[in-house]
Amino acid sequence: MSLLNRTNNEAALEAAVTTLQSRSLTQLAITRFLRNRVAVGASIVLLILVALAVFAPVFELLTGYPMEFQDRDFYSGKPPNWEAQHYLGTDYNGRDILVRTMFGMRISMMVALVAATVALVIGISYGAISGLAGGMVDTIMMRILDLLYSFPLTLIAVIALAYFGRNIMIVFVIIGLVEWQLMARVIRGQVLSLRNAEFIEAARATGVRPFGILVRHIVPNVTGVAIVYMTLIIPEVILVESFLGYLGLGVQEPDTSLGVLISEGANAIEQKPWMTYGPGIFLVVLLMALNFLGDGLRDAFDPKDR
Amino acid sequence: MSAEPLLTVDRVSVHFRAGGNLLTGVSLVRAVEGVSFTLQQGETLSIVGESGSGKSTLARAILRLVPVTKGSLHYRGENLVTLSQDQMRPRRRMMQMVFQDPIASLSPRRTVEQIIEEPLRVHFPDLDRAERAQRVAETMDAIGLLPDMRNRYPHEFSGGQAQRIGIARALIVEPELLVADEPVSALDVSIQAQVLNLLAEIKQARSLSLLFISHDLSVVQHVSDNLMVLYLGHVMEVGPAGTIYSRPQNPYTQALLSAVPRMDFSADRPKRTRLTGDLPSPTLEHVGCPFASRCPRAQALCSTDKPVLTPVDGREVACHFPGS
Ligand SMILES: Nc1ncnc2c1ncn2[C@@H]1O[C@H](COP(=O)(O)OP(=O)(O)O)[C@@H](O)[C@H]1O
Ligand SMILES: [Mg+2]
Repeated sequence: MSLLNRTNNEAALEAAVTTLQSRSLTQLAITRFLRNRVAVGASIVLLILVALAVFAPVFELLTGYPMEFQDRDFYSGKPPNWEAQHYLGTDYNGRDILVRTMFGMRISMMVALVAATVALVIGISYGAISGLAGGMVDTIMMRILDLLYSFPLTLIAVIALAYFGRNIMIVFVIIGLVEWQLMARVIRGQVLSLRNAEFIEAARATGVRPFGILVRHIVPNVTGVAIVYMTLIIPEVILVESFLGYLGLGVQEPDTSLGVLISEGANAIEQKPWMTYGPGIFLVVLLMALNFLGDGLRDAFDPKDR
Repeated sequence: MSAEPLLTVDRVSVHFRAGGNLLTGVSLVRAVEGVSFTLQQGETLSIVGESGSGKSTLARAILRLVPVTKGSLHYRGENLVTLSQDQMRPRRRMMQMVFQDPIASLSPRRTVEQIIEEPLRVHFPDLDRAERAQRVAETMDAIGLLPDMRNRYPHEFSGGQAQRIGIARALIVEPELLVADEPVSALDVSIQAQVLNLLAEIKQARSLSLLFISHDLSVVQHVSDNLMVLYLGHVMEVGPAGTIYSRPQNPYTQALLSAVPRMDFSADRPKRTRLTGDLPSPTLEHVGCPFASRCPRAQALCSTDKPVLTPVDGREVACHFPGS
């Protein structure tokens, strides 16, 4: 009887061990990611920045200066003054730069998120269709991308902004429409290599419909890459928005973005350098955190490591 | 044997357009060239040939996974070649496939259960969750997979276990015909025998018809009723396996066989024929015998006239100078 018990226990133990060992590729990727200190550090920094942006109004309370408030005593740009609680100084209109930087970061992040989502959705659909269809359809779709690539898209963005008015949603969407191309190319490449994979052929051989193949076998295998490229697209979007802001085509006063703030400061970089410090540092930290996060994710999802 | 064959393959050719840039133009890969054979119900036909001889392409063509350029495929009297993919879908339940690379043939982000039940979802959409789970459990048990493997992912398995999963996926819809494309080539030799025995067992138990593909004659020796030797997409010799094994007539078959280690030290054992040179380009169109460039017995006739399959000593041979 004790013998019987023992084997039972052993079987139970074995089952428990196998469940423990049974980890999906996603779980493996997460484990790998967590072991990457730089990437984890970057995510923490990013979380803090997001929290700062989300709670930007708190800074209005802390400093006592609402976003749009023009401090008469600090007109035409004054350096940081801790007693007056202008920790990063003021701009030409006497507005507090720290508060505006937080609100600017909020807008920059929103632009980035909306635009990156637009890029993700269009990019995945376009890339997956192109890669799956193959042949002539694929060739034509890729030529269209080449054509778009050779277009001065920033110019188109400028024209569209002039035409539709400077609406922030339009900025979101236009940047998204520009940035989806890289995503589409990457996804198409992935799909092309997946298309001839044996497990896809196995699905076809058993009669799975093309839509089922797309949803059950292709999409789960490209989401990792898509997430990685999304983190790489976001900094790009922030930069494009900054550039538009620099051209005076970004968000409209009194709203602001990191790009707009930096371009305001850049005009007076010699006399009033503090105007760029705050937004500049936050932009750099934000971009770096995103880049390290993207790298970490790419390593974690690297198919070669399977 | 007089009954209607399960599968009749009639002069099937599969050509691919390959490469092709502005300078070289498109070249035609003749992967399968005028192949004909029949497969009776319950029979095992082995298809052998060097890598690149068109075995996989022939298998894919039979399952309509690549377009058939010429010829016809009759399954139980119905020509599959004229069916659309939608018309083909219900017939796929009857003909399932097992693949060469066991791990690569399993979707990496799906669990074993999801993988095995997928054919059920296609062909028995009315089954509910519990019924599907039940069928999966029964099939896994029959194939020798443990129940607790259900929720694991393909990358956690060894090649042999992964191939069992692939076999379970093929068998869950109870097909009549199983096409096994080099099912053990990627496995350790020690595991090969297990998987071969498993295939032989289920073939017996379920009276399956089997198309068994291999580049290795020693692997097919014990499983085949009939044997077909392919070279550059051409049938070189076809007939009862035992007959061909003991008295190969085509020099190409002899070359393949002499690469197989055997326990035969008798005086009249077949002489060793070594294959020299590489497989010629599959883009060539042959006026003569495709094997002529490497054949030890080749004569002038061989490079000008293509030999046709002719009955010789209980099998058919495509050779101008058959003999052992
Ligand atoms: N999709 C394809 N496009 C072009 N050529 C192909 C394709 N599939 C197979 N071939 C070619 O057809 C020939 C036969 O290949 P295959 O059927 O895989 O041979 P085997 O399975 O006997 O090794 C090879 O020369 C191969 O390169
Ligand atoms: Mg092959």
